[in-house]
Amino acid sequence: MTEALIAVAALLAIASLAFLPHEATRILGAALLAAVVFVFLRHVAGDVPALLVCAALGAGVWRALPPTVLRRVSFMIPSLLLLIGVTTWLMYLAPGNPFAQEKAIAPQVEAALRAQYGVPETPLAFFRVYMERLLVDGSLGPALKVQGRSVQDLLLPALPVSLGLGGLALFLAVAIGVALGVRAGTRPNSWADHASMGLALVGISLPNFVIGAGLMIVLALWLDWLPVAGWGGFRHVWMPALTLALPHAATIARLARSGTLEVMQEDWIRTARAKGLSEGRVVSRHALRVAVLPVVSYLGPAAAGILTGSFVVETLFGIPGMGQWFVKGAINRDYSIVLGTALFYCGLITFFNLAVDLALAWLDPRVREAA
Amino acid sequence: MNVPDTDRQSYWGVVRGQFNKNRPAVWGLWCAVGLFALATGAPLLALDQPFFWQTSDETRFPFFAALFNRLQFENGVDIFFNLLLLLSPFYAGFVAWKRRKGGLGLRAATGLVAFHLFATLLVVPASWLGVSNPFHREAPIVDYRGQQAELLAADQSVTAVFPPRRIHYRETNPERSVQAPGRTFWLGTDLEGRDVLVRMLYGTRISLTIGVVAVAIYVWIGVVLGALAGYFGGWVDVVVSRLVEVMICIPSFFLILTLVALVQDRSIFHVMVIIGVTSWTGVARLVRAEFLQQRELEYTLAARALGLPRWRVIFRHILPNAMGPVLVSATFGIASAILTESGLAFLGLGDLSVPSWGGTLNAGRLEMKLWLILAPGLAIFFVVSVFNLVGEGLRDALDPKLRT
Repeated sequence: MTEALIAVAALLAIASLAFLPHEATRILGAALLAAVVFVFLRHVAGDVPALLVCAALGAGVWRALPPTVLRRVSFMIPSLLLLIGVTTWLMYLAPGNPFAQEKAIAPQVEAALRAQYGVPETPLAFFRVYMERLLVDGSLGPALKVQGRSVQDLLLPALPVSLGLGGLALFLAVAIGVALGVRAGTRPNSWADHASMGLALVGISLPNFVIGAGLMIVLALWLDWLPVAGWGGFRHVWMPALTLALPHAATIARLARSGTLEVMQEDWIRTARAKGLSEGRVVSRHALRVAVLPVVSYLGPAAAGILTGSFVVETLFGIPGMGQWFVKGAINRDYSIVLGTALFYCGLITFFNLAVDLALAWLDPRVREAA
Repeated sequence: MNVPDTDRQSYWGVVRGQFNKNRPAVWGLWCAVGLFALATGAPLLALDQPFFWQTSDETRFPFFAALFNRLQFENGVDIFFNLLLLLSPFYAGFVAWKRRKGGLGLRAATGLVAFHLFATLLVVPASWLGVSNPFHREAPIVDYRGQQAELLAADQSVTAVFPPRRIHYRETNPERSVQAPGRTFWLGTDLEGRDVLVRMLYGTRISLTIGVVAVAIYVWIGVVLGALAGYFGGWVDVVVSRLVEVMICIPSFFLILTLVALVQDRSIFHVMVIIGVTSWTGVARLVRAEFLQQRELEYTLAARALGLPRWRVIFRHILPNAMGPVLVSATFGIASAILTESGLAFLGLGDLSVPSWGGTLNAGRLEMKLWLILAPGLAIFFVVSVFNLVGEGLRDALDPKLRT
C-alpha cells in the first residue's frame, strides 16, 4: 500500500514539473544531466576532476541546448528512477522470490542469501540498496541466477555486440529507406515507386522472426553465402542486421517518398531548377534536406523498434548481446539482470531521443526558431 | 427551409461509400470475416469426435457434447467460439429478422454481442465462484476412432460421420515428434507430435481474441483518459499528457516483456491485459486532440446550455464525433497486438497451454526447425496484413481530403 502511494505521489510530482517556470526547467534539466554524467565519470576520473568537468558540462548544456531538450531531460531522469521503483515493487508483488527452489530452504540460509545478493525483504529497502549501489559504487549488483558474476560483468561484453548490430541495422534502414523513398518520390509510378510501396506493405506486416527465418533459408541454406546463425566474424552480422533493418527501411521509404513528393511541388524547387541546376543537384542539395525531416523524427521510434526487435533477432540468430541477456533474465526471473538491462535500454532510448531532437533543431530552422 | 434531400447521406453513410470504393480494403474486410468464420467453425473441420455415430445397438451425436466437455475444451476462448458455433443459426435468424424490419442498428448489434459474452460467462468453468457449472461438463472422452477401427475389424456395422480431420488439437504422440511437412501432416508435427495444421486452425481463435480483447482494453483506457484530458484541460490535461509522454519514451514491447516476465503461471488473458494496459497512449492522444477541437464547437455549447450533466456531454455528445480516428487506430492496433503476442510467444513467454500460433513458433525456435517458424509466421503475416488493409481503407475513407 505504501509503495503504491509513493509511486502515485512520485508520478504526480513528475507531472507537476510542467508547472515549473521556464528558466527553472532549464536549470533542472542541465543539473540532472550533469549529475548523471558525474555518477559515471567519478569512477573513471576521481571525485574532484569529475565534479569540475560536470559543472562545466552543466553550465555549457544550460547555455547551449534548446529548451525542448532540457525540458525532456528534466522529466525523463526522474521517470527512469520511477520506472526502477515501480518495476521493483511489481517484482515483489509477483508471487515467489528468486531464492525459492523446489526444496524449502531454511530461514537462516535464505537470510544469508538475501544479504549476500542485496535483496532485502521489502521493495522499499531493495530500492534503497539498489540506488545506493548504483549511485555510490556505480554497480548494477550481483546476478541472481548466474553464480559469482555481477550484472555489469555479464552485460559489458554484450554491449559492443548489441550496439554494433543495432548501429548497422539503423544505418541499413536509413540507407535503403532513403534511397528507395527518394527515388520513388522523384519518379512516381516508376519501378522504384512500386518496389518501395510493396516493401512498405510487406515490411509492416511481416513479423521479424519470419524475415529472419526467410533470410536464413534463402541466403544461408539455398545460396550458402552467409553462415546460418551464431556470432564471430564479419559475415555473421549481415543477416541479423538486415532482419532488424527491413521493417524500418519500409517505413522510412514511405516517409521519404511522401516527403519528397511534397517538397518537389514547392516554389523554391522550381527556382532552383530555373537557376539551371542539374536535377541531381536540385534533389541532393535542395530537396533532400527538407524531405528527410520526417525520416529524422522517425529515427527515435526506429531506434526503439530496433532495440526491441533485437530481443527476438538475437534469440533467433544466437547472438550473445544485451537483448538475449534481457530475455534470459526475464525467463529465469533474474531481477538484477532485468533491472540492469532495463536501466540501460531506457537510458539509451532517452539519449537517442535527445540526439534526434538536436538533429531536428539543427536541420530545420523552424524548430530552432520555435525554441 | 426546403432542402432537397435526394442525395443527403449520413456521415457514416458517406464513410461507407468511400470505404467500398477501396478494393483492397474491401477484400481485407471479407478476409477478416472469413477468418472469424474459420475460427468459429474450427471444430467442424478438425475434431476427434464424430457428428453422428450409429452401431447396431446405439445412436449418438458425440460432437455436440464434446464442444462443452471440460476435458476437450477447457479455456474460455474455445468456449466462446464453440457457443457461437452452436448458436450461430439463431443469431443469423435474429439478424435476418431485424434486417427485414428495417436494418440492424448499433444498439441491437451491441446487445447481441453482450448477450453472447454473458452466455459464455455462464458456460465457462466458474470454479473460482464456488459454483459447479452444469453446462460445462466433465465427461470421459470416448475414443471413437479406435472403436470404429475395432468394430470394422470385427466385421460389425458402424456408421460414423467425422469432421474432415479426425484429430484434436491437443492430441500428442511421442512417436511422431517433429515430423517435416508430408502427406499425412500437411504442415508437419511439433515437439509433442501434435498436428501443426490443426493447431494453426484453432490458433486463429486465440489470435483474433488477443487482438480484439487487448485493443478493447486499451481503447477503453485511452478514451476515458483522453476525453477527460481534452475536455477539462488544466491540471487534468497536464497529468495525463505527462503520463503519456513518459510512457511513450519507453518502448512498449520492452515494457510488456518486463511485465509478462513478472507474472508466474501466465495465461493468455494475462498477456492480453498486459498488452492492453501498456498500449493506450496513442488512443489517449488521439481522443484528447479530438476533444480539444470538438469542445469549442457550437453543438457542445448547445448541449451544455441545455443543462445536460457533464458525463453526458462528454460521452454521449462529443465522444461519438471523436471516434473516427480511434476506430482506425483500433484496427491497426489489432494487427500490432497479434504481432506483439507472437513475439512474446516466440521468446517462450507465451501461454503454452493454448494452441496459439506463438506456441508453434516457440517449438520451432527450440528445435531450430524453420518450417515450424514459417507456417505460423506466414499465418500471422496474413492476419496482420488483413487488418492493416482494413485500417488503411478506414483511414482513407474518414479523410475528407481524399473524398471522391
